[in-house]
Amino acid sequence: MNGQRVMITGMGAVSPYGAGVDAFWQGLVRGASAVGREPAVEAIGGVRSKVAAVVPELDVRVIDRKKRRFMSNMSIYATLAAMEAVAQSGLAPEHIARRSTGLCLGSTLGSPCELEDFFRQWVQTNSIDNVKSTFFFKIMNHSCVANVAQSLGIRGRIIAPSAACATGALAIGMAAEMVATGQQEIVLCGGADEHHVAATAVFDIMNAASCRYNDTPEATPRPFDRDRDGVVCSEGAGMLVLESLEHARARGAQILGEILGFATLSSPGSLAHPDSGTIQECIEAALDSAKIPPGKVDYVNAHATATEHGDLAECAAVTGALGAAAPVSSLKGHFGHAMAASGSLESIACVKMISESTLIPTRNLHTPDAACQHMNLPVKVTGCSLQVVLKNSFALGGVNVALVIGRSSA
Amino acid sequence: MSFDQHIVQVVNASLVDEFEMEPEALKPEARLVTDLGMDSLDLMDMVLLLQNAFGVELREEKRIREVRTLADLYTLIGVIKQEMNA
Repeated sequence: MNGQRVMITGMGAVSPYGAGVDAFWQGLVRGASAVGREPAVEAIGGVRSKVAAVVPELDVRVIDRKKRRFMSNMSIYATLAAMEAVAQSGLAPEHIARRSTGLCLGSTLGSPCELEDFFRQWVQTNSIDNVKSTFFFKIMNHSCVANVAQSLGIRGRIIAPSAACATGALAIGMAAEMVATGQQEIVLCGGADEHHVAATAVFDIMNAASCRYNDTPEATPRPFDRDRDGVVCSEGAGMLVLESLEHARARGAQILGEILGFATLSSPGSLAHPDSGTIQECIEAALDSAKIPPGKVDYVNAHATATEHGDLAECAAVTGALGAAAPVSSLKGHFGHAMAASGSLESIACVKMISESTLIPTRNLHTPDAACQHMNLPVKVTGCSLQVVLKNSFALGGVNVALVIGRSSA
Repeated sequence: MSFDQHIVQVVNASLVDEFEMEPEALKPEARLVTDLGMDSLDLMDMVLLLQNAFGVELREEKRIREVRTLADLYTLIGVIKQEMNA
Protein backbone atom coordinates (compact mmCIF):
# COMPACT_ATOMS: atom_id res chain seq x y z
CA MET A 1 0.00 0.00 0.00
CA ASN A 2 1.16 3.53 -0.58
CA GLY A 3 2.27 5.36 2.53
CA GLN A 4 3.21 3.86 5.86
CA ARG A 5 3.45 0.11 6.34
CA VAL A 6 0.45 -1.27 8.21
CA MET A 7 1.13 -3.92 10.82
CA ILE A 8 -1.22 -6.28 12.64
CA THR A 9 -0.42 -6.21 16.36
CA GLY A 10 -3.49 -7.75 17.97
CA MET A 11 -6.33 -10.14 17.16
CA GLY A 12 -9.51 -11.20 18.90
CA ALA A 13 -12.24 -13.63 17.92
CA VAL A 14 -15.64 -14.87 18.96
CA SER A 15 -16.68 -17.73 16.72
CA PRO A 16 -18.95 -20.77 16.75
CA TYR A 17 -15.97 -22.50 18.40
CA GLY A 18 -16.29 -20.13 21.38
CA ALA A 19 -14.46 -17.08 22.67
CA GLY A 20 -10.87 -16.40 21.72
CA VAL A 21 -8.46 -16.75 18.84
CA ASP A 22 -7.05 -19.94 20.39
CA ALA A 23 -10.44 -21.70 20.40
CA PHE A 24 -11.01 -20.54 16.82
CA TRP A 25 -7.61 -21.69 15.60
CA GLN A 26 -7.75 -25.02 17.43
CA GLY A 27 -11.19 -25.69 15.91
CA LEU A 28 -9.76 -25.08 12.44
CA VAL A 29 -6.63 -27.17 13.00
CA ARG A 30 -8.73 -30.06 14.36
CA GLY A 31 -10.95 -29.82 11.31
CA ALA A 32 -13.95 -29.68 13.63
CA SER A 33 -17.36 -28.76 12.28
CA ALA A 34 -19.15 -26.01 14.21
CA VAL A 35 -22.38 -26.58 12.27
CA GLY A 36 -25.42 -28.14 13.90
CA ARG A 37 -29.21 -28.33 13.78
CA GLU A 38 -30.56 -24.95 14.84
CA PRO A 39 -33.87 -24.98 16.74
CA ALA A 40 -34.55 -21.31 15.97
CA VAL A 41 -34.49 -22.08 12.25
CA GLU A 42 -36.55 -25.24 12.65
CA ALA A 43 -39.27 -23.23 14.37
CA ILE A 44 -40.08 -21.14 11.28
CA GLY A 45 -42.28 -22.69 8.62
CA GLY A 46 -41.07 -22.84 5.04
CA VAL A 47 -37.38 -22.58 5.82
CA ARG A 48 -35.94 -25.74 4.32
CA SER A 49 -32.44 -25.28 5.70
CA LYS A 50 -32.40 -26.39 9.36
CA VAL A 51 -28.71 -25.85 10.14
CA ALA A 52 -26.48 -23.05 11.40
CA ALA A 53 -23.23 -22.51 13.28
CA VAL A 54 -23.90 -20.48 16.39
CA VAL A 55 -21.67 -19.13 19.14
CA PRO A 56 -21.90 -21.18 22.35
CA GLU A 57 -22.86 -19.53 25.63
CA LEU A 58 -20.23 -17.00 26.71
CA ASP A 59 -19.28 -15.33 29.97
CA VAL A 60 -20.66 -11.91 29.13
CA ARG A 61 -20.27 -10.48 32.61
CA VAL A 62 -16.71 -9.47 31.79
CA ILE A 63 -18.44 -6.54 30.05
CA ASP A 64 -19.75 -4.03 32.55
CA ARG A 65 -23.57 -4.21 32.84
CA LYS A 66 -24.02 -0.52 32.16
CA LYS A 67 -22.19 -0.95 28.86
CA ARG A 68 -23.77 -4.33 28.10
CA ARG A 69 -27.36 -3.12 28.47
CA PHE A 70 -27.00 -1.34 25.11
CA MET A 71 -25.71 -4.45 23.36
CA SER A 72 -27.34 -7.21 21.39
CA ASN A 73 -25.30 -10.35 20.78
CA MET A 74 -23.40 -8.87 17.84
CA SER A 75 -22.07 -6.00 19.97
CA ILE A 76 -21.22 -8.40 22.78
CA TYR A 77 -19.23 -10.56 20.36
CA ALA A 78 -17.49 -7.49 18.92
CA THR A 79 -16.66 -6.13 22.37
CA LEU A 80 -15.22 -9.43 23.61
CA ALA A 81 -13.15 -9.79 20.43
CA ALA A 82 -11.97 -6.18 20.66
CA MET A 83 -10.96 -6.63 24.30
CA GLU A 84 -8.91 -9.70 23.35
CA ALA A 85 -7.27 -7.91 20.41
CA VAL A 86 -6.31 -4.91 22.53
CA ALA A 87 -4.98 -7.16 25.30
CA GLN A 88 -2.80 -9.04 22.82
CA SER A 89 -1.54 -5.84 21.25
CA GLY A 90 -0.29 -4.56 24.60
CA LEU A 91 -1.81 -1.14 23.90
CA ALA A 92 -2.10 0.88 27.08
CA PRO A 93 -5.22 2.88 28.00
CA GLU A 94 -3.38 6.07 27.03
CA HIS A 95 -2.88 4.73 23.48
CA ILE A 96 -6.57 3.87 23.21
CA ALA A 97 -7.65 7.29 24.50
CA ARG A 98 -5.76 9.24 21.85
CA ARG A 99 -7.65 10.89 19.02
CA SER A 100 -5.28 9.11 16.66
CA THR A 101 -6.75 5.73 17.62
CA GLY A 102 -9.88 4.82 15.66
CA LEU A 103 -12.34 2.01 15.20
CA CYS A 104 -13.75 0.66 11.93
CA LEU A 105 -16.33 -2.06 12.55
CA GLY A 106 -19.52 -3.07 10.80
CA SER A 107 -22.35 -5.56 10.73
CA THR A 108 -24.85 -6.61 8.10
CA LEU A 109 -27.79 -4.98 9.91
CA GLY A 110 -28.65 -3.56 13.29
CA SER A 111 -29.70 -6.38 15.63
CA PRO A 112 -32.31 -8.51 13.84
CA CYS A 113 -33.07 -10.37 17.08
CA GLU A 114 -33.98 -7.15 18.88
CA LEU A 115 -35.96 -5.88 15.90
CA GLU A 116 -37.96 -9.10 15.87
CA ASP A 117 -38.81 -8.71 19.57
CA PHE A 118 -39.81 -5.08 19.05
CA PHE A 119 -42.06 -5.66 16.07
CA ARG A 120 -43.55 -8.83 17.55
CA GLN A 121 -44.87 -6.74 20.41
CA TRP A 122 -45.78 -3.82 18.16
CA VAL A 123 -47.88 -6.05 15.92
CA GLN A 124 -49.39 -8.22 18.64
CA THR A 125 -50.31 -5.48 21.12
CA ASN A 126 -50.27 -2.34 19.01
CA SER A 127 -48.24 -0.72 21.76
CA ILE A 128 -44.71 0.04 22.90
CA ASP A 129 -45.50 -0.49 26.56
CA ASN A 130 -42.76 -3.03 27.20
CA VAL A 131 -39.97 -1.52 25.14
CA LYS A 132 -36.86 -0.82 27.19
CA SER A 133 -35.03 2.48 27.07
CA THR A 134 -31.94 0.79 25.62
CA PHE A 135 -33.73 -0.75 22.62
CA PHE A 136 -32.72 1.75 19.95
CA PHE A 137 -29.03 1.45 20.78
CA LYS A 138 -29.14 -2.21 19.78
CA ILE A 139 -30.70 -1.74 16.37
CA MET A 140 -28.69 1.18 15.04
CA ASN A 141 -26.71 0.32 11.92
CA HIS A 142 -23.62 1.49 13.80
CA SER A 143 -24.53 -0.27 17.03
CA CYS A 144 -21.40 -2.44 17.12
CA VAL A 145 -18.93 0.36 16.48
CA ALA A 146 -20.70 2.65 18.97
CA ASN A 147 -20.79 0.01 21.69
CA VAL A 148 -17.17 -1.04 21.28
CA ALA A 149 -16.03 2.59 21.29
CA GLN A 150 -17.93 3.20 24.52
CA SER A 151 -16.58 0.04 26.15
CA LEU A 152 -12.96 0.68 25.22
CA GLY A 153 -12.96 4.47 25.42
CA ILE A 154 -11.99 5.05 21.80
CA ARG A 155 -11.93 8.75 20.89
CA GLY A 156 -10.72 8.82 17.28
CA ARG A 157 -12.71 8.06 14.15
CA ILE A 158 -15.47 5.52 14.58
CA ILE A 159 -16.76 4.29 11.24
CA ALA A 160 -19.30 1.56 10.52
CA PRO A 161 -18.95 0.23 6.98
CA SER A 162 -21.86 -1.90 5.87
CA ALA A 163 -21.35 -4.26 2.95
CA ALA A 164 -23.22 -7.38 4.06
CA CYS A 165 -20.92 -10.41 3.86
CA ALA A 166 -17.88 -8.37 2.81
CA THR A 167 -18.13 -5.97 5.76
CA GLY A 168 -15.35 -7.45 7.89
CA ALA A 169 -12.79 -7.47 5.09
CA LEU A 170 -13.88 -4.02 3.94
CA ALA A 171 -13.41 -2.67 7.47
CA ILE A 172 -9.87 -4.06 7.57
CA GLY A 173 -9.07 -2.50 4.19
CA MET A 174 -10.50 0.88 5.16
CA ALA A 175 -8.63 0.77 8.47
CA ALA A 176 -5.39 -0.12 6.68
CA GLU A 177 -5.80 2.89 4.38
CA MET A 178 -6.41 5.18 7.34
CA VAL A 179 -3.17 3.97 8.96
CA ALA A 180 -1.17 3.99 5.70
CA THR A 181 -2.15 7.58 4.95
CA GLY A 182 -1.49 8.73 8.50
CA GLN A 183 -5.09 9.73 9.23
CA GLN A 184 -4.95 7.45 12.29
CA GLU A 185 -1.96 5.81 13.97
CA ILE A 186 -3.93 2.84 15.27
CA VAL A 187 -7.24 1.44 14.06
CA LEU A 188 -9.10 -1.45 15.63
CA CYS A 189 -11.14 -3.08 12.87
CA GLY A 190 -13.33 -5.98 11.86
CA GLY A 191 -16.88 -7.23 11.52
CA ALA A 192 -19.56 -8.77 13.71
CA ASP A 193 -22.92 -10.43 13.26
CA GLU A 194 -25.47 -12.39 15.26
CA HIS A 195 -27.40 -15.27 13.77
CA HIS A 196 -31.08 -14.75 13.12
CA VAL A 197 -33.36 -17.11 11.25
CA ALA A 198 -33.99 -14.35 8.70
CA ALA A 199 -30.43 -14.73 7.40
CA THR A 200 -30.91 -18.43 6.71
CA ALA A 201 -34.39 -17.71 5.32
CA VAL A 202 -33.10 -15.04 2.92
CA PHE A 203 -30.58 -17.46 1.42
CA ASP A 204 -33.23 -20.20 1.31
CA ILE A 205 -35.67 -17.94 -0.53
CA MET A 206 -32.96 -17.47 -3.19
CA ASN A 207 -32.32 -21.25 -3.31
CA ALA A 208 -28.86 -20.55 -1.92
CA ALA A 209 -29.07 -22.13 1.56
CA SER A 210 -27.90 -25.67 2.30
CA CYS A 211 -30.98 -27.92 2.67
CA ARG A 212 -29.83 -31.46 1.90
CA TYR A 213 -27.68 -32.05 4.96
CA ASN A 214 -30.13 -31.27 7.75
CA ASP A 215 -29.57 -34.74 9.24
CA THR A 216 -25.79 -34.59 8.84
CA PRO A 217 -25.01 -30.94 9.60
CA GLU A 218 -21.29 -31.57 9.94
CA ALA A 219 -21.24 -32.50 6.22
CA THR A 220 -22.23 -28.98 5.11
CA PRO A 221 -21.40 -26.44 3.75
CA ARG A 222 -19.18 -27.94 1.05
CA PRO A 223 -17.27 -25.20 -0.79
CA PHE A 224 -15.98 -26.25 -4.24
CA ASP A 225 -17.44 -29.73 -3.81
CA ARG A 226 -19.53 -31.38 -6.51
CA ASP A 227 -22.23 -32.10 -3.92
CA ARG A 228 -22.41 -28.64 -2.36
CA ASP A 229 -25.89 -27.18 -1.94
CA GLY A 230 -25.46 -23.72 -0.50
CA VAL A 231 -24.69 -21.46 2.42
CA VAL A 232 -24.84 -22.27 6.13
CA CYS A 233 -25.22 -19.12 8.19
CA SER A 234 -23.18 -18.49 11.31
CA GLU A 235 -22.17 -15.63 13.58
CA GLY A 236 -19.33 -14.14 15.59
CA ALA A 237 -16.83 -11.31 15.50
CA GLY A 238 -13.25 -10.91 14.41
CA MET A 239 -11.21 -7.86 15.41
CA LEU A 240 -7.67 -6.83 14.50
CA VAL A 241 -5.44 -4.04 15.74
CA LEU A 242 -3.68 -2.29 12.87
CA GLU A 243 -0.97 0.28 13.44
CA SER A 244 1.82 1.91 11.54
CA LEU A 245 5.18 0.15 11.56
CA GLU A 246 6.74 3.24 13.08
CA HIS A 247 4.25 3.30 15.94
CA ALA A 248 4.48 -0.44 16.55
CA ARG A 249 8.28 -0.30 16.62
CA ALA A 250 8.38 2.72 18.89
CA ARG A 251 6.41 0.93 21.58
CA GLY A 252 8.10 -2.44 21.06
CA ALA A 253 4.91 -4.19 19.93
CA GLN A 254 4.88 -7.79 18.78
CA ILE A 255 4.06 -7.77 15.07
CA LEU A 256 1.80 -10.61 13.95
CA GLY A 257 1.54 -9.77 10.26
CA GLU A 258 1.15 -6.99 7.75
CA ILE A 259 -1.62 -5.70 5.50
CA LEU A 260 0.23 -5.42 2.20
CA GLY A 261 -2.61 -4.55 -0.12
CA PHE A 262 -6.32 -3.85 -0.40
CA ALA A 263 -8.84 -3.24 -3.12
CA THR A 264 -12.61 -3.05 -3.31
CA LEU A 265 -14.53 -2.88 -6.57
CA SER A 266 -18.21 -2.97 -7.38
CA SER A 267 -19.84 -5.43 -9.78
CA PRO A 268 -22.56 -3.22 -11.23
CA GLY A 269 -24.00 -5.96 -13.47
CA SER A 270 -26.10 -7.62 -10.76
CA LEU A 271 -27.02 -7.20 -7.11
CA ALA A 272 -27.35 -10.95 -6.69
CA HIS A 273 -24.95 -12.72 -9.03
CA PRO A 274 -21.18 -12.61 -8.62
CA ASP A 275 -19.19 -11.57 -11.66
CA SER A 276 -15.85 -13.30 -12.18
CA GLY A 277 -14.49 -10.48 -14.33
CA THR A 278 -14.89 -7.83 -11.65
CA ILE A 279 -13.67 -10.19 -8.94
CA GLN A 280 -10.53 -10.83 -10.99
CA GLU A 281 -10.03 -7.09 -11.44
CA CYS A 282 -10.41 -6.63 -7.69
CA ILE A 283 -7.79 -9.31 -6.95
CA GLU A 284 -5.43 -7.72 -9.47
CA ALA A 285 -5.98 -4.28 -7.99
CA ALA A 286 -5.21 -5.60 -4.49
CA LEU A 287 -1.97 -7.18 -5.78
CA ASP A 288 -1.09 -3.89 -7.52
CA SER A 289 -1.70 -2.07 -4.26
CA ALA A 290 0.63 -4.54 -2.51
CA LYS A 291 3.17 -4.35 -5.37
CA ILE A 292 3.16 -8.15 -5.33
CA PRO A 293 3.30 -10.11 -8.62
CA PRO A 294 0.65 -12.85 -8.96
CA GLY A 295 3.24 -15.61 -8.77
CA LYS A 296 4.25 -14.53 -5.24
CA VAL A 297 0.88 -15.39 -3.71
CA ASP A 298 1.44 -18.51 -1.60
CA TYR A 299 -2.17 -19.20 -0.66
CA VAL A 300 -5.68 -17.91 -1.36
CA ASN A 301 -8.28 -17.85 1.39
CA ALA A 302 -11.45 -17.90 -0.66
CA HIS A 303 -14.80 -16.38 0.10
CA ALA A 304 -16.43 -19.55 -1.37
CA THR A 305 -19.68 -20.07 0.50
CA ALA A 306 -20.66 -23.30 -1.31
CA THR A 307 -23.09 -21.80 -3.80
CA GLU A 308 -22.59 -22.85 -7.40
CA HIS A 309 -22.55 -19.32 -8.82
CA GLY A 310 -20.24 -17.96 -6.15
CA ASP A 311 -17.72 -20.78 -6.05
CA LEU A 312 -17.37 -20.97 -9.82
CA ALA A 313 -17.07 -17.21 -10.30
CA GLU A 314 -14.34 -17.08 -7.67
CA CYS A 315 -12.52 -20.07 -9.20
CA ALA A 316 -12.52 -18.38 -12.59
CA ALA A 317 -11.38 -15.06 -11.11
CA VAL A 318 -8.56 -16.57 -9.04
CA THR A 319 -7.37 -18.64 -11.99
CA GLY A 320 -7.50 -15.60 -14.25
CA ALA A 321 -5.55 -13.43 -11.82
CA LEU A 322 -3.05 -15.92 -10.40
CA GLY A 323 -3.10 -19.07 -12.47
CA ALA A 324 -3.88 -22.39 -10.84
CA ALA A 325 -0.74 -23.10 -8.84
CA ALA A 326 -1.48 -21.43 -5.50
CA PRO A 327 -3.42 -23.53 -2.99
CA VAL A 328 -6.95 -22.27 -2.40
CA SER A 329 -9.25 -23.11 0.51
CA SER A 330 -12.43 -21.82 2.10
CA LEU A 331 -13.11 -21.99 5.82
CA LYS A 332 -16.90 -21.92 5.41
CA GLY A 333 -16.92 -25.74 5.60
CA HIS A 334 -15.65 -25.47 9.18
CA PHE A 335 -17.85 -22.78 10.71
CA GLY A 336 -20.27 -21.62 8.03
CA HIS A 337 -20.67 -18.10 6.79
CA ALA A 338 -20.35 -15.60 9.62
CA MET A 339 -21.72 -12.81 7.43
CA ALA A 340 -20.13 -9.46 8.35
CA ALA A 341 -17.69 -11.29 10.62
CA SER A 342 -16.54 -13.76 7.98
CA GLY A 343 -13.92 -11.55 6.33
CA SER A 344 -12.27 -10.55 9.58
CA LEU A 345 -12.43 -13.99 11.23
CA GLU A 346 -10.95 -15.55 8.09
CA SER A 347 -8.26 -12.85 7.96
CA ILE A 348 -7.33 -13.78 11.52
CA ALA A 349 -7.12 -17.41 10.36
CA CYS A 350 -4.81 -16.27 7.54
CA VAL A 351 -2.48 -14.54 10.00
CA LYS A 352 -2.43 -17.70 12.12
CA MET A 353 -1.75 -19.87 9.05
CA ILE A 354 1.23 -17.64 8.22
CA SER A 355 2.62 -17.54 11.76
CA GLU A 356 2.03 -21.27 12.41
CA SER A 357 3.18 -22.31 8.91
CA THR A 358 0.03 -24.41 8.67
CA LEU A 359 -2.43 -24.38 5.79
CA ILE A 360 -6.06 -25.13 6.70
CA PRO A 361 -7.88 -26.95 3.88
CA THR A 362 -11.53 -26.80 2.86
CA ARG A 363 -13.64 -28.98 5.15
CA ASN A 364 -16.23 -31.19 3.42
CA LEU A 365 -14.45 -31.00 0.08
CA HIS A 366 -14.31 -34.56 -1.25
CA THR A 367 -14.95 -34.38 -4.99
CA PRO A 368 -14.18 -31.00 -6.55
CA ASP A 369 -16.72 -29.62 -8.97
CA ALA A 370 -15.60 -30.31 -12.54
CA ALA A 371 -15.16 -26.58 -13.12
CA CYS A 372 -12.75 -26.36 -10.15
CA GLN A 373 -10.71 -29.49 -10.80
CA HIS A 374 -7.84 -27.59 -12.39
CA MET A 375 -7.25 -25.73 -9.15
CA ASN A 376 -4.98 -26.59 -6.24
CA LEU A 377 -7.61 -27.34 -3.55
CA PRO A 378 -5.96 -28.93 -0.50
CA VAL A 379 -8.05 -31.31 1.62
CA LYS A 380 -5.57 -31.98 4.44
CA VAL A 381 -3.92 -29.74 7.00
CA THR A 382 -0.50 -29.08 5.54
CA GLY A 383 2.66 -27.63 7.00
CA CYS A 384 4.09 -25.00 4.67
CA SER A 385 5.83 -21.65 4.75
CA LEU A 386 3.46 -18.85 3.73
CA GLN A 387 4.79 -15.37 3.01
CA VAL A 388 1.90 -13.76 1.11
CA VAL A 389 -1.77 -14.65 1.37
CA LEU A 390 -4.73 -13.33 -0.62
CA LYS A 391 -8.03 -13.03 1.27
CA ASN A 392 -11.20 -12.64 -0.79
CA SER A 393 -14.56 -11.47 0.49
CA PHE A 394 -17.70 -10.74 -1.52
CA ALA A 395 -21.23 -9.60 -0.78
CA LEU A 396 -24.70 -9.49 -2.21
CA GLY A 397 -25.06 -6.01 -3.63
CA GLY A 398 -22.04 -6.41 -5.90
CA VAL A 399 -19.32 -5.63 -3.34
CA ASN A 400 -15.94 -7.29 -3.86
CA VAL A 401 -13.00 -7.00 -1.47
CA ALA A 402 -9.49 -8.43 -1.69
CA LEU A 403 -6.84 -8.13 0.99
CA VAL A 404 -3.18 -9.10 0.70
CA ILE A 405 -1.77 -10.21 4.04
CA GLY A 406 1.93 -10.84 4.61
CA ARG A 407 4.28 -12.42 7.10
CA SER A 408 5.85 -9.83 9.32
CA SER A 409 9.25 -8.89 7.94
CA ALA A 410 9.73 -5.89 10.21
CA MET B 1 -41.01 -0.14 59.36
CA SER B 2 -42.58 -3.33 58.04
CA PHE B 3 -43.23 -3.92 54.38
CA ASP B 4 -45.40 -6.31 52.44
CA GLN B 5 -42.96 -9.20 52.09
CA HIS B 6 -44.38 -10.21 48.73
CA ILE B 7 -43.63 -6.73 47.39
CA VAL B 8 -40.11 -6.82 48.83
CA GLN B 9 -39.50 -10.23 47.32
CA VAL B 10 -40.74 -9.33 43.85
CA VAL B 11 -38.97 -5.95 43.72
CA ASN B 12 -35.69 -7.40 44.93
CA ALA B 13 -35.85 -10.38 42.57
CA SER B 14 -36.51 -8.02 39.67
CA LEU B 15 -33.52 -5.85 40.58
CA VAL B 16 -31.23 -8.87 40.95
CA ASP B 17 -32.36 -10.39 37.64
CA GLU B 18 -32.49 -7.29 35.50
CA PHE B 19 -29.79 -5.10 36.99
CA GLU B 20 -27.49 -7.83 38.33
CA MET B 21 -27.54 -6.35 41.83
CA GLU B 22 -26.11 -8.26 44.79
CA PRO B 23 -29.01 -9.41 47.02
CA GLU B 24 -27.18 -8.28 50.16
CA ALA B 25 -27.05 -4.71 48.83
CA LEU B 26 -30.84 -4.53 48.71
CA LYS B 27 -31.51 -3.02 52.12
CA PRO B 28 -34.65 -0.88 52.57
CA GLU B 29 -32.56 2.22 53.25
CA ALA B 30 -30.48 1.76 50.09
CA ARG B 31 -30.81 4.74 47.73
CA LEU B 32 -31.49 3.71 44.15
CA VAL B 33 -29.06 6.14 42.54
CA THR B 34 -26.29 6.79 45.00
CA ASP B 35 -26.13 3.38 46.70
CA LEU B 36 -27.35 0.98 44.02
CA GLY B 37 -25.78 2.82 41.06
CA MET B 38 -28.93 3.18 38.97
CA ASP B 39 -29.11 5.95 36.39
CA SER B 40 -32.04 7.51 34.57
CA LEU B 41 -32.24 4.72 31.95
CA ASP B 42 -32.16 2.05 34.66
CA LEU B 43 -34.94 3.85 36.53
CA MET B 44 -37.10 3.96 33.40
CA ASP B 45 -36.59 0.25 32.80
CA MET B 46 -37.23 -0.52 36.47
CA VAL B 47 -40.57 1.27 36.27
CA LEU B 48 -41.49 -0.84 33.23
CA LEU B 49 -40.46 -4.02 34.99
CA LEU B 50 -42.43 -3.27 38.15
CA GLN B 51 -45.51 -2.17 36.23
CA ASN B 52 -45.61 -5.61 34.67
CA ALA B 53 -44.74 -7.45 37.87
CA PHE B 54 -47.48 -5.81 39.94
CA GLY B 55 -50.03 -4.84 37.29
CA VAL B 56 -49.91 -1.20 38.40
CA GLU B 57 -49.41 2.07 36.51
CA LEU B 58 -46.13 3.68 37.54
CA ARG B 59 -44.92 5.51 34.44
CA GLU B 60 -47.45 8.33 34.75
CA GLU B 61 -47.55 8.15 38.56
CA LYS B 62 -46.33 11.48 39.94
CA ARG B 63 -45.35 9.95 43.30
CA ILE B 64 -42.70 7.77 41.60
CA ARG B 65 -40.59 10.93 41.25
CA GLU B 66 -40.35 11.17 45.02
CA VAL B 67 -38.92 7.66 45.39
CA ARG B 68 -35.34 7.73 46.60
CA THR B 69 -34.85 4.48 48.50
CA LEU B 70 -35.99 0.89 48.22
CA ALA B 71 -38.23 1.53 51.23
CA ASP B 72 -39.90 4.37 49.32
CA LEU B 73 -40.47 2.00 46.44
CA TYR B 74 -41.92 -0.84 48.55
CA THR B 75 -44.25 1.67 50.24
CA LEU B 76 -45.43 3.33 47.04
CA ILE B 77 -46.24 0.02 45.36
CA GLY B 78 -48.15 -1.09 48.47
CA VAL B 79 -50.12 2.18 48.55
CA ILE B 80 -50.99 2.02 44.85
CA LYS B 81 -52.10 -1.60 45.16
CA GLN B 82 -54.29 -0.69 48.14
CA GLU B 83 -55.78 2.22 46.18
CA MET B 84 -56.54 -0.12 43.30
CA ASN B 85 -58.28 -2.57 45.62
CA ALA B 86 -60.23 0.11 47.52
